[in-house]
Amino acid sequence: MGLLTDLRDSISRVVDRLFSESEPKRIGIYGPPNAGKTTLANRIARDWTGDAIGPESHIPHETRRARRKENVEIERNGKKVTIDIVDTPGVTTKVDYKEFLEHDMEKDDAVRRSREATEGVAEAMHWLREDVDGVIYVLDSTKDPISQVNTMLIGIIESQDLPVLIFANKIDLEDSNVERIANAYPQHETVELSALEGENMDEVYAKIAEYFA
Amino acid sequence: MPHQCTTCGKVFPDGSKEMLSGCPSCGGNKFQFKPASSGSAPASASDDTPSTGGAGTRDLTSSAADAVRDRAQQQSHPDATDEESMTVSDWANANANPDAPQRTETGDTADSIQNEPSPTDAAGASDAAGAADAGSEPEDKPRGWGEWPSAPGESPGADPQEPPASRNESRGESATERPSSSADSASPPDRAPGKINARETDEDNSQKSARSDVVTPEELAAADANRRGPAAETPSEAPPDPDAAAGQPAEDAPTDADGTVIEPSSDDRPNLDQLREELNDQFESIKIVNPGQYELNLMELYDRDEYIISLREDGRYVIEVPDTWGPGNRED
Repeated sequence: MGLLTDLRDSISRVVDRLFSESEPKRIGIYGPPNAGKTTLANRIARDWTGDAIGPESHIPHETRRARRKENVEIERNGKKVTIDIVDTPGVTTKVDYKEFLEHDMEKDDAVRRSREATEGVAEAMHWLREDVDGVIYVLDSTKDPISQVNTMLIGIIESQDLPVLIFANKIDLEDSNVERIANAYPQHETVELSALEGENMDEVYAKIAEYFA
Repeated sequence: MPHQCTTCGKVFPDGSKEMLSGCPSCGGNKFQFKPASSGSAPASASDDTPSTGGAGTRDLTSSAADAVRDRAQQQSHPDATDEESMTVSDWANANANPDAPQRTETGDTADSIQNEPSPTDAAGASDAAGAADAGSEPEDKPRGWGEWPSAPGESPGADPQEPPASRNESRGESATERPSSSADSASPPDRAPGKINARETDEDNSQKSARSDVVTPEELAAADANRRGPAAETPSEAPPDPDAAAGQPAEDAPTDADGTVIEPSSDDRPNLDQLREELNDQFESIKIVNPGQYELNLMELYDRDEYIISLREDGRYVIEVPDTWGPGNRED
């Protein structure tokens, strides 16, 4: 089944690329929890459609189901691209409800959130395999970018030949270190930004229009 | 340990990939471990109804609960209608009838329950206690993760196997918390009151009253108090009076004075930790370390068509299949 599914997806992906230039590309926003994926997704969606995609929170795993915003038209420097943005749950290899207890959450709620977050990771991986045409990989630039999750995910993305942009988010914070990210993944283009503050969004949109067009 | 679909009862062998795309028989995606040894009666006793049993595929020796359930099915079979037509007393009498249809299985649980009237039958008492325990999960264990599958009323809300609400309503709050007799916990007849009522003309008065009497909160409280001790102190004597089983558990509730108190043997039943380990051994994409604590194998998740294996508080787990994750099902 897996082989057939792979084959089908590969074919449909190739066909999509060949014959549907005008079809919106589905761009998945990926990254570890609390990197600012939803904040970025909301920023992009608000800037180009006026609507948000989902709630943001400083508590990790706020996004536990993939959320999508369709037909987002982005135009910069004469280039125009229409994309469907898929904001995915943060990917991690461990989910622990105790992490949520630190955010004044009741244990029952924390355990439930933990379970939903786990399911969310599975769903994100599913999207990555079958449903995205390109990836925006969001990293918190205040944190070490070399982690098992990042390495594995970026490896998977590369193996899929998906176009990927790495966004070094949270440059408004003191500890931000964009260089560390650029050095960790030199094979990919790294764009710095603060989705929260809207810093450097012009370059963000220019890169999206250029890269995913 | 084999797996069993909680909807249709189909059994899958260890590590079966077949079930990972949903049950091929009914399309269900909720499963439980199927106990292989007698006395190990996991969630099955708590809320599986006979009508969904799929007896053809069931291992009758597997557990006391299964034996009781299948027993009920067999009894109802002759009139080829439905098991709901059998009253509690019919059912209990049938259980006590040694001339009942021959069973070939050697599992002591099934046989001992059938022949249980012997008060000195220690094995019978023990197994019946096990059955009662499986069905009426005691309060003396903390609920939540790490405990054994709970009583019917506590099943997750989405559980399609959940018994009709009317069953609990007629008992009041405490009954929901704790079904109070072994016959009650495993008795199929009171699961479909509507159908039974339709057949009322076939019943005698005692049957009628047995079913129509509603347990008062006081009776429940009394029963509860009587049974507050060790959960499996239950039937060391004759099986519970059918009338009591249906409506007045307080009167026949066994006490310590009835005989030897038999503690449930924890060795008999795999605990949830063991089930988790088993599940993780067979499907490792998501490892449930502890309640609310997970380890994820991203490559496994990425490679597979099926995604979520979620061991729930009641010992069941759910496998999400890709069909449920189409773009149309996602939030915008």
